Parts: sequence; structure tokens; C-alpha cells
Amino acid sequence: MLECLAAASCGSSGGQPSTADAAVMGAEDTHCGSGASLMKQPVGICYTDEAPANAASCEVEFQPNAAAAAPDGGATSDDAGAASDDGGGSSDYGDTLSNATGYDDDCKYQLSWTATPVAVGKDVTFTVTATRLSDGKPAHCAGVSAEAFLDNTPAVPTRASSEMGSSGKYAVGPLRFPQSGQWTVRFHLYEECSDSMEDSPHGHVAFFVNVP
Amino acid sequence: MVAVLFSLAASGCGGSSSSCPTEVPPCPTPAPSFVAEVNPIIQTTCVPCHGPGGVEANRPYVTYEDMKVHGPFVTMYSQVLGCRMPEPPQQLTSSQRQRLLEWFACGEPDDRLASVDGGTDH
Repeated sequence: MLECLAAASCGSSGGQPSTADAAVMGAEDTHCGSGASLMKQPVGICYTDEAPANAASCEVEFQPNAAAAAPDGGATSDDAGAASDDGGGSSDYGDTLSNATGYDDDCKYQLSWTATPVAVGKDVTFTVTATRLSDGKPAHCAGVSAEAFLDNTPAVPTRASSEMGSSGKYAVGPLRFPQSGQWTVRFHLYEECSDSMEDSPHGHVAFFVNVP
Repeated sequence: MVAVLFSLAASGCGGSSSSCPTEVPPCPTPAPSFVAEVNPIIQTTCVPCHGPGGVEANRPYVTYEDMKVHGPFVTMYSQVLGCRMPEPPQQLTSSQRQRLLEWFACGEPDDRLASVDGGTDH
């Protein structure tokens, strides 16, 4: 398994394309700005009725959903803005990004990814590193999950995720792509947190992934 | 009794991925009716959260147009396929999940007008 994960960041392996081939190269993600003008949204309270058992060590405050209904429960998210029906690449979830690093739609996290060799019908495991922009700390306890789409058809998504210590680095998957093409792979962070508050830890970032 | 319990367990998500579909189902003929089959499931199991007063009210699924814009459909499709939605206490039976997935696989056909004209609705 470790060899498998290591291979993901080491170029082609055994003739199978890996991250360097799977990432669709393009313009750098600047939707949060760049350099000194980089927007860094703080991460607020996670409203959920499913707080993790190790919540105390997560550096995220968890409160039950009922608390979000209080008058001062926080700002309502504007995630519900105009959307397009483009096969999951955009809409409320933000645009799909090129390359293998970028920011979530709300500018709370930076994500980077590598993958085991990508091929049709193969189990692909992603290694995702998530960092909070506001303080540069690892996004610990994020329970990163992944889903994938090609046009208007999804692959069977995965919630299988394990964090390597408290590093904000996650092994996610496997995902299996049933056909070749330029897929959209969307990673979700803190999915158990209600997304109705603007500063919810809940976040998502989508990348184009080339499946040969 | 055991069979009933197994059936109930299989119908919910509850963190058990083994009860979830392992592949995308094909579109059947005829396609599931939005009016008669799909919308009642959505109103019962999705709108309590994805509707007024729900914890995901900012992503409403009250109408077909809501879902098209705020889902979007392919995301709903993926979430239902992976048993990520609906979240407890809402649950889908296996047959409800199957019909939703078949409707998504058919491209989310909208038969509301046909129903008004005396088509598929009762």
C-alpha cells in the first residue's frame, strides 16, 4: 500500500499514467487571488449531529445542528448563487480546476493531490493534502471524500478516507473510472458539517482528471 | 424477522457501503415518472433538509428547477449512488434508491406537462 501511494507522486509507473499525466494542465487557480492578495477565509463552527469521536483534537469547533438555528447562528452561506447545469463542473460547488493544486470555492483551504496510476476500470487512490488558508495549519479531521463525473454520469463515489496522523494528508478512495475521458473529481472536506453557514468548515474542490 | 431487519439495514446508508450500488444502473423503458414516482420520494426524503427551515435550505430541492440549478442533478445522482444522501434520519428503501438512480440515468425526464395533459399522472 505504501509503495502504491509513493508511486503516485513519482511519475509513470509500469507504463501506467500517474499524477503527472492525470492532472489536466492549465492556468493556475487564482479565484482566491494570489500572492499578497490571496483571500484567506477563516473556518468557523461545524454544525453537525455527527461530530467525530476525536473532535477535541481537531482544532475545529463542533456544535449540534440545533445551535445553527439560533438567531445568532452565523451568516447564511451565499453558496446558493446562480448555477449552471454543466455536468457538475461548476454551480454552487465552484469551478473545476486544472492542475493538481488549488483552492476551495470559499477560499478556506488549499488542496493538492496525487494519485495512483489512473486507468479505466482500475482502483485509483488519491492522496490529498489540505491546508487551512487562514492559519496555514493542516485541515485535520476533514474526512476527505471524493466523487467523480464525466459529463452527466457519475462514477461510484467513495467516502473511504484515512488521515495520515494529523497531517491534513488523506488517502482517499479507491475510485474506479468506468470510461476514459476528462473527468471531474470533486473532493469534499468536513462533509458532515452543514454548508448553510458561510464560514462552515464544509468545503469542496474539484479538479479535472484525465483518464486515458 | 431477520430478513426484514436485513432489508431495513440495506435500505439505509448508515455508513455501510456494502449496501450501496456498485455500478451505475441503466435507464429503463419506460423511464421513471418524475411526477408519480421521483418527486414524492424527493419531497419526503430530501426536502426536509433541502427546503425551508432545513439545515441545507441554501441548496433547495423543492422544485424540479431548484434541483437543476442547486443540485445540480449529476451531484445528486452521485450522492444517491454512493449512499451519501439522504443523511439519517431520512432513509431510502432499496427500491426508492433504484428508481431515483434510474431516473438520473435517463437524464432526469420531466413529465409534469404530460401529467397535466392527462398523461402519466393519476
